[in-house]
Amino acid sequence: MSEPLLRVEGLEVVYRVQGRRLPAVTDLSFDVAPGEILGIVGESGCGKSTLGLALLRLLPQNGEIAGGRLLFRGRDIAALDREELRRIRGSQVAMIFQDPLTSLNPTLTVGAQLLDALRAHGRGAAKDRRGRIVAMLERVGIPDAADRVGRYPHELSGGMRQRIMIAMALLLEPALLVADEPTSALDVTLQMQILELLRALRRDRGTAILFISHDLGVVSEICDRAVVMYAGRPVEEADIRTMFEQPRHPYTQALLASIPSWRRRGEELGSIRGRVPSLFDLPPACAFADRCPHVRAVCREQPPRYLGAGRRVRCHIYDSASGYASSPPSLTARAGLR
Amino acid sequence: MSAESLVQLRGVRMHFFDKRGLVAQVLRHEAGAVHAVDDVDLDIPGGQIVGLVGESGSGKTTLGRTIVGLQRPTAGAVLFDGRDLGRASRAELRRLRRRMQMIFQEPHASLSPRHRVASLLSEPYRIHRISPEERSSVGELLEMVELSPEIASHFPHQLSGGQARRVGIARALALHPELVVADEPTSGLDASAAAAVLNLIKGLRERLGLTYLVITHDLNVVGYLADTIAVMYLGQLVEIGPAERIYESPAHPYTQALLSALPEPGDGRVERRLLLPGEIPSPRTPPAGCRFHTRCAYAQERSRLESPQLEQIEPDHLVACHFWREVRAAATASRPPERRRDGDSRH
Repeated sequence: MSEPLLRVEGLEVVYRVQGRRLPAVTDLSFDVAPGEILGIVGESGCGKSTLGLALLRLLPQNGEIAGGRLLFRGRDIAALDREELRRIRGSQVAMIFQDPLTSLNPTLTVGAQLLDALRAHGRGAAKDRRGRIVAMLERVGIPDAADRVGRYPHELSGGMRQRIMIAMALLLEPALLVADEPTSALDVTLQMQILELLRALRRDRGTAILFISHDLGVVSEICDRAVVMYAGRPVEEADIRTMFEQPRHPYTQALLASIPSWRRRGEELGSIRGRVPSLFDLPPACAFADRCPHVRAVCREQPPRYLGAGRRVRCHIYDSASGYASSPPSLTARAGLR
Repeated sequence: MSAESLVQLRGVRMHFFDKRGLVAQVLRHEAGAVHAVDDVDLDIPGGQIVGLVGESGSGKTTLGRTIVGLQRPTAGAVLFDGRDLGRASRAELRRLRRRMQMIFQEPHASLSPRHRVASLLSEPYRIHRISPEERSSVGELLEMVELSPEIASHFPHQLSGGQARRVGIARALALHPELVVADEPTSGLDASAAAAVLNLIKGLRERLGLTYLVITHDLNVVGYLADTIAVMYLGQLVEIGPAERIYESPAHPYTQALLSALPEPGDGRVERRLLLPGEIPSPRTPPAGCRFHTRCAYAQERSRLESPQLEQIEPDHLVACHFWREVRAAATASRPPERRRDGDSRH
């Protein structure tokens, strides 16, 4: 495999909440190759957004990277000083969020914000900057771009704002784009336009994308590979087709079984019994044990290892050394998926 | 149209005036109004699940609120069990409204934060002054939505999104309605909680013989749940038909565009070329003629001049498009290549 653009190694992120340590991300490892679109999938609270914030060192005050490394082109993002970080942010690694209003300044016109970004990184001769901005806005599909640079964010529709945020993230031509639920607030037709835009970006410029989403449909559509997260840790990693055709982890299987669709009329949808455990009070061994239809005694005794290369899974069922086969099934296992 | 429909909408129109339209309102000038819903005819047969789909701004929530009588239509009639809500006396309206309930989109916003679940569930009885012997117990209501009895003493903030949604459903069921209008019943829920709510909605239809109007932007949800699908665009219905027909052979270009935009897990990565350009225009100034013509690949001069009416193209399948024959023919001809996998070409 070629040198990864981003290598996350044993990442641990902890929040301090009322004097307690909340492990938001635990033992997370994966690689992103140049030009690759990697999906990070999971339900709310699984740590996927925390990962995005950690990558840009944008964690809130009470959060910290407590272990592991975030290697971007071989340099640890966690160890960069302020100046180095400023140079990497935006120009090497950029982020887009679900809600464009959180990242656009309401008091500045669209053009002024984009100009700031170019200036701050000393990109382009002053007289070329405006042309460059208009060209980028046109590229992300904004009609009448020359007119829209003079508008304020509130004067634009949601879809336009999303595009402008993407334009801003792309203006400095980052090698890695971190996209946190970039289409979740959009209608399907707009969603498709944005996905198309991201695909074109990868195709034409080789931008790698870390695509964070709860929406398995969208992930299956745009990503090359995906990592499924549960309770702060990765439970499965596979290329996208394998993930959808042969999911291994019981959580991945349950997630896929829960998606409604036209083809599944008449079937009962799978739903997972119980709730996502509180990160303050995780089961001691496998975090999914209490909800798993295949749980056995060993699942409550030993944390499962995250095994494999490329195709990885964190589950005793697939670990021949785990003793799963010889472990008696738990009583609750018989309840099965509800 | 069938006589047994529980709900019949006839030419329902809902126009709003906002601040910008104030002058227009004073002058009774229609041009300044927001055309949220325009001339909608729709039947909801008893025992069916009708899915109403559209993008945000299509007017679907407004139509739902009008059906359950939360808003009076600007024009047209809503008939419930044959009775015109607009002509009913106050007392009669009150009785009719007990028979139709709405499940609101934001469960936490629609549940008062200071009340415990038990009190929230008995509130509809107090409002409608239902005698104690006619009431279901809190325990029964919670059981109906598969929640454990101890939830009764919880406050809304102590509930998960899925639980709050179920409490909202239980509250709607307290008055034993015949019609339930569910607005985005799964929005904001995680995959597994959403699946549980959909299973519940389906199960309750079987157990209680409920009739549903499910309002959503999520085509996977209506595809899974609905018997009949109605597609709304800029305040008008553009296609209505049995779910199988809509999915297998959509006749309106907008329906086609929506379906082609639908990500389906397990489908692998697919290349899609049928892109719907632009965004939904403002309902304040809907395009003349066919409202979809500004984004439609099939639009011609006629589309700009003449507004298409819903016409029946098959049993129970109606479409409002001048060119539905061409649209359908093109779809059958080009469908396989459109949904081609791109895996082979990329590597």
